[in-house]
Amino acid sequence: MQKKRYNWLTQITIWMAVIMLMLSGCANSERAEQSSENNAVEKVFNYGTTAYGVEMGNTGLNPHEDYSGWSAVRYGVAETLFKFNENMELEPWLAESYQQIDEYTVEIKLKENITFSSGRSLDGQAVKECLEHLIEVHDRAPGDLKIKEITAQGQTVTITSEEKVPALLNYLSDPYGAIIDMEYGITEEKNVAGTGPFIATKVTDTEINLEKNPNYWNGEVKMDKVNVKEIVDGDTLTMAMQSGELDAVQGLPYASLSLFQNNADYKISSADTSRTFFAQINYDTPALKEINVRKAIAMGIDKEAFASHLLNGNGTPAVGAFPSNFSFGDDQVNDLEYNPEEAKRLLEEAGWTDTDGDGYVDKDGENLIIRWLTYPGRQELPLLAEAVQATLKEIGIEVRVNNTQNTKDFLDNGEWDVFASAFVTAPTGDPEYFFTTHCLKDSAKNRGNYYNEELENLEAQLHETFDPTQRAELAVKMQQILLDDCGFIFASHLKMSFVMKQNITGFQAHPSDYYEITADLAYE
Amino acid sequence: MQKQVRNNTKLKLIVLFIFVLGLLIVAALASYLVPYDPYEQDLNNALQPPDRVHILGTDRYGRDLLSRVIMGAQTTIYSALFLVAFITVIGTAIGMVCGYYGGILDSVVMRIADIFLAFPGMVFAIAVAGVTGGGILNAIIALACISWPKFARLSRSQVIMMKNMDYIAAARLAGSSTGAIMIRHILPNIIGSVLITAVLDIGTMIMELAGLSFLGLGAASPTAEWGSMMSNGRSMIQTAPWVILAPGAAIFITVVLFNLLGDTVRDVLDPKQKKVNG
Repeated sequence: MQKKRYNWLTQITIWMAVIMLMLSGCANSERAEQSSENNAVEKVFNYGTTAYGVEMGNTGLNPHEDYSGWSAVRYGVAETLFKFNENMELEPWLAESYQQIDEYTVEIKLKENITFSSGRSLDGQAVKECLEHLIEVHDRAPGDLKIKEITAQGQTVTITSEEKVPALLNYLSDPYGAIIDMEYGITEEKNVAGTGPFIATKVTDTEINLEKNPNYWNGEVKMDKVNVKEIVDGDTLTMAMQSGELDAVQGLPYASLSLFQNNADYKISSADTSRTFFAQINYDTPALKEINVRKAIAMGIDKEAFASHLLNGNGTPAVGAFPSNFSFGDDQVNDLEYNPEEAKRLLEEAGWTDTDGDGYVDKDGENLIIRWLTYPGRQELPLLAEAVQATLKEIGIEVRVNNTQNTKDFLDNGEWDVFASAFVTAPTGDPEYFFTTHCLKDSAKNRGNYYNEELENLEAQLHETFDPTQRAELAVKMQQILLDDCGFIFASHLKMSFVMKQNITGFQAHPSDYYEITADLAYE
Repeated sequence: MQKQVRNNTKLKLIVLFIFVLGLLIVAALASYLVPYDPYEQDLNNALQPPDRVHILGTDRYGRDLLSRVIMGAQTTIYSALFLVAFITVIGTAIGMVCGYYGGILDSVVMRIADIFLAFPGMVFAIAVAGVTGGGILNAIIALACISWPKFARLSRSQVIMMKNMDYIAAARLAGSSTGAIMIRHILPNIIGSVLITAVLDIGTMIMELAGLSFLGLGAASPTAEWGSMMSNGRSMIQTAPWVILAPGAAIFITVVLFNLLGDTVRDVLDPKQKKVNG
């Protein structure tokens, strides 16, 4: 008996010890302060992000592979000919100016005195070599650019396209258009020689180590070293930021952001991006062929509450495909407001009523069940699914959420009714991309077989139109068609946030999501 | 002295049994007891700290946590009980048959059992649940796969010990059939130790089921289940700790209760073992 009590005591002691160990995780901050003192000699910036890695398809710095150009541009290694400003309009970057010779030809003049980190100077020939390699090996670039011929002379490059490509310069500003020295080539670890403020010393699938480029063309680089680390788990990211191990982070869980808001030790930089969370309707599902049912679903989703409560205000409720900082953005289009009563009425009008009293509407003895397909890779999507599940239940629609990494299988075999996903709708500041990828008869991502003849005609027009104002007008009309058909339901736009220590300057979120680390990055 | 100890143990058993019974009743009547609908979202009241309206607070969807914990008790506890009952019956039956008949059958089945025991249990369960996909039923199957050999081995060794005893020989001489011998004469003699193992296993199974759900391989949202509730609240441990503390405390209390009950049942049913150990 005596011995037994002793056992109990031991157990309790062990439990206490375990709890103490868990709590002691908070004590790390002291050590971190010491390390930042050492940084006084050499300025090192440690950056944690969820957006780099194999799952994102952007490992390495080779712009000619998949989405790795994003990493090259984001982390300040390579630069494009033109860049986007805060309003997603083009400004020259490596280019000095350009001239549209005719509808098929554009002449780009490059800035003088820019050198690659390999030592070679940037001229027309270097750009030609890089772009030729790009359209030879890349998967998306050739179809976007439709380049027929590139000629180089001194600091000028002339690009001739096979057909009219009104958005050519926009496409060239996609990170895949980052200019690298092809003579230096692409190393085995996927490192490249660019013109950016930083030079990569080590590149792995989980981390990139960067050093200042002493010969940067556009001003003195203020930070000596930058380490970019992939941290996928949101809680790890939060704690690494709190412990001082990281100087800035991107991709914190919404629930953690409040820890850093109104906290004098940190500051936050945010920007509305064109990454849009939206739902595609499957037109192969008989019930969803009825416009009333689609309308009811659109009206049964409370976007405002989703954005303000589940995203804690770190997202903007969407109307159409593009946020309002675009000239063809949310301000220009109208969607159906959240209105459960009207949604119920529409369902009733279409013959869907709750006859068996189980809380769900039915017709011909069958309940209205929506298979909502989504994936966990973007933290907003499961939240949206669960919120929709609850609000649609109120109007009598049963939502079965299928939250899986393996969405492709379900999309392929048609076992879905609504597919919610995230997509950067205007990566190049131009609207056409979203329509050609998602909404046309032969679009690769038109999974639900959406078809509208008027939309197809307008797209044909858009494809021939060069004037940005007219393009914007067409894009507005086309979005309105999507919204009137309820073929696509746009839920919210991502507000991207960087959390950083108070003493960091020159680190700002950009609406394009392309530019993160620049020459201006510094400690105060 | 000896007698008093025994009385104390019995009293302990009764008290614990009442607690566990209370827990089971609460779980069984969950849908009548919950103060709010555990699935009803109210985003305007999301992440409210515990107060008089919501005794345990609300989660990020504004659902009442007390209601969800009570509802979760049903899912978690009854799944675990079902699982334990299932593996006890299957495992014991296999073990008894193997022990009684011996021979090739015994060798083959016991080697299969060895293979299952050779894997680290939880890792194997994660693999099985991963292959079969999510869902509480698949999680139960996964755990059943790794847990039945324990009962098979236990009952087999007991049967082997007993089958050569005189009273079994007597029963056989008296013309009892094999089935009758196993059920009427052997089973009652081994049921004690099987039962002790089973009761001691309930706590472990609750933990493991919750563990699988925590990893997203058990109950799928929005089902109220303690493991998945903890998993969903994980990112809020600093900003809204009650979201994770409520289901965590529920798991803790339930597992402790079942483990204490298991210990006490062992003390009562198997005083010999207790003397050796204690």
